[in-house]
Amino acid sequence: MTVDAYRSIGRSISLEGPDKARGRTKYAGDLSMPGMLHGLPVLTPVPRALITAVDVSGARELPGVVVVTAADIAGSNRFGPTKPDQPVLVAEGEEVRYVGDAVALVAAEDLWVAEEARRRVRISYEERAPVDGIRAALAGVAAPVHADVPDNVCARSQLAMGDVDEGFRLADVVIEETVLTPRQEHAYLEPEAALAYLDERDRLVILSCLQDPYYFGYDIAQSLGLPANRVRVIATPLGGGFGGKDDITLQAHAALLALHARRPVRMVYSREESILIHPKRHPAEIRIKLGATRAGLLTALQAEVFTDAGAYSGRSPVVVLVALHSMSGPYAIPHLRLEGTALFSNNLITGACRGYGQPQSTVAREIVLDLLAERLGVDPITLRKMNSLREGQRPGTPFANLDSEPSLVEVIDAAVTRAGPPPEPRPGRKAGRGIACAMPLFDIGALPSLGLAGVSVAVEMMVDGSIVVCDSAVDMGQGVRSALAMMAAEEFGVAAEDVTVLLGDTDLCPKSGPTTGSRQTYVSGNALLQAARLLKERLMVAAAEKLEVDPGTLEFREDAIRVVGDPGRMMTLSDLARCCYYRGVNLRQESWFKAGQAIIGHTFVATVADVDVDPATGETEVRRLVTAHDIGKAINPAAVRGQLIGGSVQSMGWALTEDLAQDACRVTTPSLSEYLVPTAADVPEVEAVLVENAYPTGPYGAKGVGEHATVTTAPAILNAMHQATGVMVREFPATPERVARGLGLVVIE
Amino acid sequence: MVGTVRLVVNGLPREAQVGAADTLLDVLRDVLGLTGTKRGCGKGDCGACTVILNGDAVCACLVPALQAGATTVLTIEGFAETPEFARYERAFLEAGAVQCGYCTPGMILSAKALLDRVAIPTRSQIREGISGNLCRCTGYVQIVEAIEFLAAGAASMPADAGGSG
Amino acid sequence: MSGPSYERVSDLAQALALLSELGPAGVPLAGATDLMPDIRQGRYSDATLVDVSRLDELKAVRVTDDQVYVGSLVTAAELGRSAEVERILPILVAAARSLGSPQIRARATVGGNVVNASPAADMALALMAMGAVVETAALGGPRSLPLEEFVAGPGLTRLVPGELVTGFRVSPVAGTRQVYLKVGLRRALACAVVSVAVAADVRDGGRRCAEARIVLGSVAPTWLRVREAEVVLTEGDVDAALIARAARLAAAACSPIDDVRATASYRRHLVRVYVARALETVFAYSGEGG
Repeated sequence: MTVDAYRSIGRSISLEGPDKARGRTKYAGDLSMPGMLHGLPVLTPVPRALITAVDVSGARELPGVVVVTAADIAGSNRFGPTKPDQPVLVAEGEEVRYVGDAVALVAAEDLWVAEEARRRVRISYEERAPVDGIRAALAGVAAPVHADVPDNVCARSQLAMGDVDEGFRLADVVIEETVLTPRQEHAYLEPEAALAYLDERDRLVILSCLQDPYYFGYDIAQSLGLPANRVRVIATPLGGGFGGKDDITLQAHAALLALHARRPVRMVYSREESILIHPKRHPAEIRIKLGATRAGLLTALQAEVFTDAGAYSGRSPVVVLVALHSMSGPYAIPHLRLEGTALFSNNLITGACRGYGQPQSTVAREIVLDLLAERLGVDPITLRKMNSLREGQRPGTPFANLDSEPSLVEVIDAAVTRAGPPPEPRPGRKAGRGIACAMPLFDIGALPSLGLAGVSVAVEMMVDGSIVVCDSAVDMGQGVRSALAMMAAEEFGVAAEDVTVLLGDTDLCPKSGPTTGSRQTYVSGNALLQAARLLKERLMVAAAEKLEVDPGTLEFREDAIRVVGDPGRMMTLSDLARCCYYRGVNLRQESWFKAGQAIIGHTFVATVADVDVDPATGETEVRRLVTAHDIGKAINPAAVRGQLIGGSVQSMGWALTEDLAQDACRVTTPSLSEYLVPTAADVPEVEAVLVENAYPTGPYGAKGVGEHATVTTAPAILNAMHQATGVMVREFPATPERVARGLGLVVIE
Repeated sequence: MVGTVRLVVNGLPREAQVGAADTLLDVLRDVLGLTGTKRGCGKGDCGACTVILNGDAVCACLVPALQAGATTVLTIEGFAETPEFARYERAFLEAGAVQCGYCTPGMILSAKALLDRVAIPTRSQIREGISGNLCRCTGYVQIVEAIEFLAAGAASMPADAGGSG
Repeated sequence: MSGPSYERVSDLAQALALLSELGPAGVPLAGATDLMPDIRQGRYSDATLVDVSRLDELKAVRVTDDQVYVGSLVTAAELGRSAEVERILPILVAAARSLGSPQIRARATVGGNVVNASPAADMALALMAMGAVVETAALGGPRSLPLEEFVAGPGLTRLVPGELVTGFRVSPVAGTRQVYLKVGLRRALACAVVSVAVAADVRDGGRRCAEARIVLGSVAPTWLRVREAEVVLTEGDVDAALIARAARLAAAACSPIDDVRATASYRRHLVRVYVARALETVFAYSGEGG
């Protein structure tokens, strides 16, 4: 390993950590203001119904209670990131379309009074037959979810390459499977919360846990009938996001109540409300067909992806697109035909969830690859290496115009080497090892979704030489504050701890787009570097004049600007800043970063899972996970490791226990005692192996990493269970019961 | 309001007017303004509201406020004021055990309750000791490492805690 | 706002007087781990919570050579740490350790676990397998009855208004072998999908059984003792075949339901496997599972 010449880059630090560890960080639900009201949503009692009347008179009789219905909304009363089809409040004469739809809002100074007011709101409705999932949406058994979309098709995508029929003609072996993936709840520890108020100029201010301040401001403004410049959004630190706070929930409600009451209003979801209301990972039904030669070379891949979008469009068109583009993964497959359809239903709404369509497509492809390996009698690792994209090879799908070399074989070797020999099974258990690979994306600039096309970051040197960075990205635990501080510190030769980073405030920070898609280190980092370097050029010119040297001979190092090779000839940053300030040199630089040719970056990932399965009951214990990622360069190794391990465990939950099940469009697991995320006692040894092939266009060579371990871990575990038992679970989570059924131990009574 | 509850919080005598449906968590957050104790579920399912009550880690959301009378409660704000906390903070930060931070105060207090009872726990005792504190960001591995470092009394941690390959 | 009333009592006499006066409106409040979320949901808004948590006379654990007395306010954490209880009632300690999480165990009491009468109640199953006797107090005087007669259905007991559970008495035959096995969908904060408590008076180095109790959780409206299987074990040499027969009888005797955690048929399968495993453990027989 080479020793980096960096002062900050490559250190493991957490500038956010001390306040969080001490309980000083204020999350949205921790905020309060004098005169503040507590707001509550009045949710629909049934998943689908025509609202015939909303009687709020009983609630309004309570002293000090504010009640709002759709009739009080001045704007469009509709929002949505791809199509504004979701109501802020469902009006009389309209349909509620899922159990998270609200028909009224109440607020009071005392939360218990607000609760009582909520109980007094009378909703009259005519129940309608709900569309309860993909099959029902396709069959058209009930009236369409949206009258203007008679076929329930929210979005359709297609992707073809080569001639797939020819590809299957070339195949000696064809495997065809249907894979069903469950609805996943983000289960961040912080339920949604928001505080909204009118400031002294009557501008609406919204403080909340959200992933995209500008988008929230714009869409809430238009839905409530305000110009966007009358709304300020401040993202509070998120107690976990994972995509689930990428879309509007209670923020529009708190804003509406604050506008109406002309008092500050705080809303905090209960855990059950959080589970019912916010968008989930799309459940998917994937029909996949893979062809290969007898030797194991892949010849064709065909897949139909159906996702259950739930009641509104949300991000479903983009998620299904990403599912298709990630379907062929890191393999060279000459012939592809892929179709994706997102379908409306009266189930929970869906949206971004760590991986954004990639976990669904990857699990389908990777378990089918293992079934193929079994059929061919080829080792699953050999099969993957054999079909890996080679140096100079490109997959050819429109998103995947790779601007770095494929490194699948390298990450497979890294994972397998680190994993070493599989652990001995526990007595009476059957052991299995599985592997899964992917080429996960990070969004570097142009996924067709709101606000992703470019980002802006501002860097300013204060008159005393200290540095401020402004970026509307949000802190959701990923360490963006640390990463930006480290990069700015590196550029200006100061300590990261001395850099101030302002995040997530639409009044203070330029538009940096959504904090999603594993992109922030890459996009904000690049924008920051552009801004810092432009600012440095100006400062160097000024310093060169003062020091009577050529600007090209100067560098920022150890809290000063110095002559290279003669570090004693220098100006402190404080002297430099003051000098520039008095001469009218602009000390602030904002820079817009837009990626070049590539619109999506990719990492290469291989994950190895070791499991024990109880052959008498189907109970599974994950013994070990090793996940190797070509991440370019780790700006902050401990933070990268945290992303990879944390993502692995989320994916393990999705594979084994997590199912946000619905029955007739009602949620059957609306609490954290029923929706089961892994506890510390469930987690195996997890190792993250960082492979660092510097990424040419990445800041300091970095790639994005945030979502990537969620893409491969579930299929690695399912493949390991298959190795252990011979049972491949095609509808997961792979509960003990499903495994037991696969083993023929239980039959349905 | 049903009554007055008097208790010692972080070494100071405090009191609050509460009802029978109020919890210790309501008292800490809404009356005393100690928002370092987080609300995650209200049912004891997540552990975000963990405080130390008379030496035991408990979920403040399950303790009736009126039942907390005459108890001694330590919240993260109080623990952070003690000399002992520096070791915890350092271990958690250096291990990379803090991401979104919402579980962190409760997690640190569960770790303290465990280490106060078992000075050198095994890895499985550590996992079991924090099994009532859900964390959705870290996958727990770095949290377990932090507690192991604490248990080992490690003054400093390996420079390569990042696990760079 | 309407909400429950609250009274704290400082000794048993006061508690019984108040509970007697309140009748059905009096709800004893101890560790509150089950009650508090319901109270917040408004489920007890017409009740008076009688806080018995300060009744020190209900917190005793007394262990003699042939008897264990556990006060109803003893917590799961205290039981889980008790070496002296573990010496005689390892099954109760194991059940206590399997409950909820450290935070829940610090507050949850054995009395509450029994009185709530959840079909999945860990400590209640262990006590029932050991033939525990429930002791209660009321103004009219104390009462004791076998735990298996105490439970009346899901969430229902034979407690009458004004009566309070004071403790549990267990007098096991010396050397009774015990095991508690719990199947959950995760390793902590898990409600049992199936749980099995087995206690057996084992003779002849594991070959014979003088008496056995097999109690199942989460597979019937309440804790289920499977006498058919118990009797079979006393009818011959305990070998793989006999254990398998007992396990089959246990599976046949239960009446599980489908819920979000598992289907009835899978639960029945788990009963067969885990009863066999529990019996293999207590009879120290190492045969094939399943």
